[in-house]
Amino acid sequence: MRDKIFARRLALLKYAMTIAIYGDSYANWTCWSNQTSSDILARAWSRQLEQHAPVVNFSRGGAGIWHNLNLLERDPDHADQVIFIASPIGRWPGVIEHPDWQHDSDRYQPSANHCQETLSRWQDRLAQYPSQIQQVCSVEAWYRLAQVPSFEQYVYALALERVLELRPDAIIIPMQAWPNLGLSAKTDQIGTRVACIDYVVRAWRGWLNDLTLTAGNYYSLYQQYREHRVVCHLTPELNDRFLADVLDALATGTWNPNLPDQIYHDNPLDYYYQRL
Amino acid sequence: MTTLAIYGDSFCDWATSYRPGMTELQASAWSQKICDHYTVTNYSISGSSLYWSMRHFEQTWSQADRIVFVVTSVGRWPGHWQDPKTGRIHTLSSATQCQIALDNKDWVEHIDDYAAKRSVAEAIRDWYLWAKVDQFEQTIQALMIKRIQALRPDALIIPINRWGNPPSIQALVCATDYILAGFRSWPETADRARNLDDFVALSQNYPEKRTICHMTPEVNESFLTAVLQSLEEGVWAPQVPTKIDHPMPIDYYYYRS
Repeated sequence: MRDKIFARRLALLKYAMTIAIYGDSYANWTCWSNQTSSDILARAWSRQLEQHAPVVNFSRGGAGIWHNLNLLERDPDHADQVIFIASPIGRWPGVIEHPDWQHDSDRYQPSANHCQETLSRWQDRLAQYPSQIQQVCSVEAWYRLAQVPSFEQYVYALALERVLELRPDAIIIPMQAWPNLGLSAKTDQIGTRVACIDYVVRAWRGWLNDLTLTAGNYYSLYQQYREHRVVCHLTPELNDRFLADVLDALATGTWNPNLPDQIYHDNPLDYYYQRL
Repeated sequence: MTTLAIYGDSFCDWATSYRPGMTELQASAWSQKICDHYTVTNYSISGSSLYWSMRHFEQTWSQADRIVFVVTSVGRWPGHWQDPKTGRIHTLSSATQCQIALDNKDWVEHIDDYAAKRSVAEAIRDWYLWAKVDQFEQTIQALMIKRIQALRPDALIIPINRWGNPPSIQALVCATDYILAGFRSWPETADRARNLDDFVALSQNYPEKRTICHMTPEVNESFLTAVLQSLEEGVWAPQVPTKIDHPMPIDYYYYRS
């Protein structure tokens, strides 16, 4: 694998390509800095990619497709190559922020799970910001009660079409598979590609020797653990593999990794995850 | 006869009525009178979102010879409830509408699982107040309008107002331009009906009494003429009259708040 990475690196250097990454916590390694040691952070695929070519990483933890589409819309030609991690359908498009919060990492875009987590974990910090608490509560209620799934799917397809229109050459990587969106064959096909979550699921298949695990059913197991030696939701070994596949995609223009049914690690599951 | 599909909200929906006496006005609605000229399928529902219209448009855009697409206000909740007994569609088009639903049990008493729906109405109200993201709403509106134009470049796209509209339709004549022209016919409102910014104050100060599709019968007539002419010419760029005369005083058509 290291030879393969080296060859791709030479190709990137030869053409002096700049790369822009758009995505969520699968691409933003800085949002892991509170819970992950520096040696693990260094293994993040998006950070390792910086050793191969100049990278601008626009990704943000919890970001939905709208955050990234808006950034791409502002400057579609910011970089020679675009890697677009298409985060799940239906994420809230806003950002919780406050004038007191100076750093970008202070602002956050809670996903459905994160709302409850935010309300409990960040309770002390948010106590002095009542309108932010109100906003998180409203977002949580929206996820639970007011979201319209058919609308979310429809506008997601429109957003993807727009990404492809702005950058037909973008390497679009789904974070997870999506159903038939019904807008165009192109957007439906992207949803069937190998997804970020597939790397995680196949690693769990390896640890548990259970081929029945899928992206749809592994989550109940996953919830029993906390990510420990993990960055961008991937173990260091998975980050290396993901990086190799990204470099392949940058070289060929196509995201089409060949994943085995099970991915094996030298260390056991509890080396990477802490049981809750 | 040439077929025409109309997509939109209360600016086209003459059938959904909740005010007393409105039924007699229905015959003067532009979207009703246009049936004399075209075989019309009207998909509009009062209070509906742009997504409501898009859903119908995606399924039917190729079926009609001509299309009038009235673009509703940006940022309406994209869902709806249907009363199983009456078949009536409830759209919860604003935080105020949600509060009305919450305060008035009769409004939703027929809806299945009323207690659960109350929680949903509260969640939608709070979404309007706290969680709606204007930039997102404007982006999706722009993408949807682009989609209409891509599938049916000949569609007449008529915005109801200009607030939050994308650049592609920012310069188009709005339905409310016609209502303002109507207000200019009465001395007491003529000076207060200069532009769209005045419309909000006027609509608050003069709640509708004898109107349909938010327009007096006379404004409906003028609007109908513009739509018919634009359908013939294939482009929505009418010359809005400076004022639309009314035979009756303002309080015949509007209340005073």
